Amino acid sequence: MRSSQDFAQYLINSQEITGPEARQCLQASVGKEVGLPLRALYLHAIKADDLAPLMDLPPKAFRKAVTGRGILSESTAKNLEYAIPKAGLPFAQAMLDLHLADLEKLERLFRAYQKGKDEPVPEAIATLLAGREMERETALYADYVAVFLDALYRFLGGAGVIRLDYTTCLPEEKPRQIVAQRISGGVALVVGIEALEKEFLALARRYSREELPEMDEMALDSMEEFLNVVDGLFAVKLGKRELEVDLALPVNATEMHRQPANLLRLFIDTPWGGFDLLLATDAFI
Amino acid sequence: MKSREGLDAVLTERASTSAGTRRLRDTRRRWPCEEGAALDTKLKILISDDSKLLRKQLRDVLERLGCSVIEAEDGKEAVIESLKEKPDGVILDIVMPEVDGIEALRVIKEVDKNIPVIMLSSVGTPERLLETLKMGALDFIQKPYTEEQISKAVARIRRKVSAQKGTSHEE
Repeated sequence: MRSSQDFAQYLINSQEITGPEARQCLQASVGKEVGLPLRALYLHAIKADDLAPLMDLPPKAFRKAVTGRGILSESTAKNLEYAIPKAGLPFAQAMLDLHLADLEKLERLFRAYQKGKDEPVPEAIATLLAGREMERETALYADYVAVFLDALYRFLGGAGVIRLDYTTCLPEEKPRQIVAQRISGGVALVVGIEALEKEFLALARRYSREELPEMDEMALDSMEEFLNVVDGLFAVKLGKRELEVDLALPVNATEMHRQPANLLRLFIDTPWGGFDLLLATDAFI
Repeated sequence: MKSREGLDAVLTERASTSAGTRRLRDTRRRWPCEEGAALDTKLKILISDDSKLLRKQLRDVLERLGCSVIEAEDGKEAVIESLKEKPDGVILDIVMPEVDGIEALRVIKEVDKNIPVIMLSSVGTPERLLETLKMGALDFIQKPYTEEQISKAVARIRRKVSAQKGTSHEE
């Protein structure tokens, strides 16, 4: 069964949810406990119809009711409780809590997501690159972004989605901060994170778990280190395909110095605000 | 990989003759306790990473584990500090300015083949792991590290130091 990691991206791609609604859910999903009912619904271990009358029960009573009625076996209930949910389930729980979906709708969406043939992240990248004649870059960028979003959830504790309604989250005139790193060898790729100071600091704090009261060397270090870690994970992924790469030192700047022809700018929304993820095969700062 | 010109200059400055180099190596092999320090003395760990934040966070972890810490912000400084401070162990990042961690490892090991060195890098490919282990690194930790990984690395350094001294070094 498909991991729930990209469920939110699937909802955006299929226009089941709007960009602003996605942001609301992302914010509400941080640290959100995913209860047994939703876990069971995701795995089709229980039907929305059976679940609805039991939803108001406290967790222990719910467990007793579903196991007592033979809807779930003891071992299934135990396994579901111990499983660590990927990003999509806290997001779905937030949709439920914010009344953006009911159980029936979620059941339908879970089924459609699991049956889908296309992977949501590559699908979003392909949509944004449509008409740009960048077939070679599309696969590489999609591979990278999947690793990036997974790392965002693992190390910052909150999901990220690619917004399709805007291509940037950055207003023209505001000062911004960029960190970037070049990956060379088996593939040529330069990746960067560009954000307004407020969001940059929020992400840096989240990654470092330090207070970071202002934009300084430590804040830049934090985001450079995050990028370095993501790129290291990408290098490991490429290594499995026998593509060996080197990582250059991360660099930072307050503006882009070049606009490579194959630059892709993605508006990534997170619970701490949006930032632009930059991908190109040539340097831009 | 970076040129080792800068490192050669450091080594030449500190031991310009082969006799000097031998003296340097002989000195390097003397552990703090052999010079009269208590056996349960704190481990002195040199950490080298270009990120100020990472050095701060690693220092916090190591100090919680009872180590004293020396910092270096690139590979060249790591080599200099390793010669000057004679740490019990070294934790080296790989991607660093001036001289990278691989070259720093090679020079540090050239001066003292017994010094325990832990590599700490974001690129944990099997090739990179093998390369550093062949060069004498004691262990390889992929970033982001956990406190438990650092604790285990320190325990390995401690065991190696104890074995070299032929003493029991309680953790």
